[in-house]
Amino acid sequence: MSSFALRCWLTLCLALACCLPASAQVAAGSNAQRALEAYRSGSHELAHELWRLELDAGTSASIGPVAALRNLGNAAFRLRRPLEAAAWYTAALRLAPRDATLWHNLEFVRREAGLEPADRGDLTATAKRFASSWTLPECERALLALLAALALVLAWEALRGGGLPRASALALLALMALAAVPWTWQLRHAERDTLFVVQPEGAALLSEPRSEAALVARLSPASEVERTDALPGWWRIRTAEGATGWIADSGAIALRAPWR
Amino acid sequence: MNAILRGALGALCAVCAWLALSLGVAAQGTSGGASLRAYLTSGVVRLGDRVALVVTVENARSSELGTLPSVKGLGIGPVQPPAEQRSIVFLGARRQESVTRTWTIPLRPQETGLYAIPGFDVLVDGVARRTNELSLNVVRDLKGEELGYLEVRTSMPKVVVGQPFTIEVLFGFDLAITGTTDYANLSLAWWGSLPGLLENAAPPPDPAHARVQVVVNDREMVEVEQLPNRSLRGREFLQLRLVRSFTPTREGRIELPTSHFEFGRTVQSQDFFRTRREKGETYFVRAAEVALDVIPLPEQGRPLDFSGAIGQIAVRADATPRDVDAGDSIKFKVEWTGSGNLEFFTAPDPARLDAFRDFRVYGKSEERSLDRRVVTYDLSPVSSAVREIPALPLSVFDPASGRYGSVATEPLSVRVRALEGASGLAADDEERFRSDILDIETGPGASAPGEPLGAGLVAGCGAFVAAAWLALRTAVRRGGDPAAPAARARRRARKELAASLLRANVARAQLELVHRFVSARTNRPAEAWVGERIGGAGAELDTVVAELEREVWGGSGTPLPRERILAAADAAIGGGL
Repeated sequence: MSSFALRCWLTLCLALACCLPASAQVAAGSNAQRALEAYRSGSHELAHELWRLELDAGTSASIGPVAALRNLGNAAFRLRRPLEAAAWYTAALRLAPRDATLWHNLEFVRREAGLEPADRGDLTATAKRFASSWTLPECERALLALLAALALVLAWEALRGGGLPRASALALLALMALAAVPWTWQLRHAERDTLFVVQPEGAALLSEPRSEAALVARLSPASEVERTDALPGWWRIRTAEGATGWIADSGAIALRAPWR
Repeated sequence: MNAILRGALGALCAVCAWLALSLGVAAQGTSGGASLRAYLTSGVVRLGDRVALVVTVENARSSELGTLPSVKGLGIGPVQPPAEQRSIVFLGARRQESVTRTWTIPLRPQETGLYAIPGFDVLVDGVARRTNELSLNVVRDLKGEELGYLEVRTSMPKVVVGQPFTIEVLFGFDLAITGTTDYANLSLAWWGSLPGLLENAAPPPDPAHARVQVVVNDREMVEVEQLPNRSLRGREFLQLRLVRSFTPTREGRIELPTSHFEFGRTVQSQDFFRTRREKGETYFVRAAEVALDVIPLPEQGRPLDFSGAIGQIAVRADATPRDVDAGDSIKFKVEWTGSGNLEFFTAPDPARLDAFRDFRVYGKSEERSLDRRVVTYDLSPVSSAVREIPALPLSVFDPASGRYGSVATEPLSVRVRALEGASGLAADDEERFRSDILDIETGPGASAPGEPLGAGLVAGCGAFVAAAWLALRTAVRRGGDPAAPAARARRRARKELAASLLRANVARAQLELVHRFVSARTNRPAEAWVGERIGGAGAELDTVVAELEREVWGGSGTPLPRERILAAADAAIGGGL
């Protein structure tokens, strides 16, 4: 009897353990479905809220962060907030940098917002696009794969010598150097906590986290700054030029999780 | 001695006196004796003929004309810079320099009569000197008036600003003198100098009329029309016509001074160098001055959308194609004709008209000329509910009635079909015409990248691979360079043995191949292994070699199975050979 009771207890615990994440997933899935229906029916504000909830639910949500960010961008654009849409698309491109749809939408909303293209097409922009075309994990995996191939070729060269293994090793080293460009770029930029200014008139950079503080500078719309600290309602940031100060958290959107 | 000194001194005094006298005379030649003279090129002239007042100042260092007199009915001027002539003459020991400045001032008598031209001041070397009074007798050229005619007229006596008008010059001479007349010159004082007028493009020539060249103002060749002959005073006259079109740009009075037409014959003269044609007997005929009033556009009743069109304008329109799908392009061609400023008004913009709200206007192209204005609009109906292209109005000021009005095209019926698979294009649904963001992601979409492994791991792996390679390479190189020819031959020996055995069909050849294999594996010459035994790991191979030697030296020469030799070779390699 005791053995039966123990088996029942274990079965119950197992069932509960399985059901808890499932129920969370159902809730998330229903949010995504409701957001989709709201978007299709023209309730873009509701769809925006629901996708925001979906995004805050983390990577376990049903549609994933890239789709949630893209859909948030679409909803923001339909709500005539092209700068916010550009922020969401930029954030999504950090996770899926080669997504053609995201690039299309980003360039479109930037044009609508009167901003210059994210990819201007000149040499600098093309180099930047190449350097940022892989995510950091992709760069690492590519480098490790190339390193494995290089190890084999080097073993061949050590055991047999000759020109062919040496040439193969050099070719692999060149490929690794090429792959190291986006890797070093991502090492430098991916981990940076970047904010995207979404206020059409620009964000006021204040010397202290209060609205009466002295104005240090005015951040232009769509500019990207680094978040260095946070207080309730305020973010401390550093601009590319090195200026530091505080901005209201309503004036910018974080480009990486957590999205608030 | 004293006599000699006195003589020399006297000669020196004489030279000095001569020099002083010479210099004094020269100075008097350049500054003293300035003279002023004024005269007419002719005291009696026919009305229309050229006459000029000539003022000459001689031997003055500076000279300047004062204010010219004003004589009623006689135009004087304009004054051009003087012609200057310098001459230096040496008369024996005397140098004489003379400077002559000459002003030639044209005179334009408007009427016949005796004109008295009073004297006027001329500054000569800073001193005002007065010219003498002159008289000019201008007489009618009765014969010219009988043999020719000249009429200058405007298309209307009064125009509004922006209203085109024409100036027509009709002239000609008696057909009876056509054979002897080879010279014609129009003296039009207003030609090229009418302020406030914009000259319009010349209308295309009428191919029915011949074109002839005449001289205008003695310097410009102008093409004129030759109209049918004209009966005048009971005689037949050649009739020529010069027409120019203008658009006034500001209000005021435009006066065309008296014009003259000179015609006659030329005579040919010849000197040593060239043959010249000069005016012979010519006649003058005159046209009275003409004036034109330019008045401003009235403010009263001016529409807010006034296009600037002035005149009597007609319009017609056409559209192609007329059976289209919603969104297709229709070329809506509007043509305005008539007497008006067709080149200058602003064509109406359908995009600003409520009647065209069911159309998108992509653009327009225009053709302008003096007699027509053609504008082709690129329209696109946005709804299948469109049944016609509405009337396109143009606000116009009619100078004849003095009122603003409107000329509009007739509505043109069109058929617009709905797009296949669509419910139609609403006019306010502009989004359909534009590119848009791509749709939302309804599926799981691209997965987020996993967590990064860390730069330390990647760098550590790289360092490990490099270190392992170096260690392995060093260890391998201790036994010799694996890329050396001997090492490569040693590695290839088994493969070459297997390949060569396929072709070896006697024991002797197999024995040679085995020796070559052992040679490659041991880096010793093959001959050194004849009669030698490998021993140790090569015992099996030694047995094979012994059997092959027996076959070779025993005389049968039967080859061993290839697989057995290879197995013995493998065993030797496995044993460390």
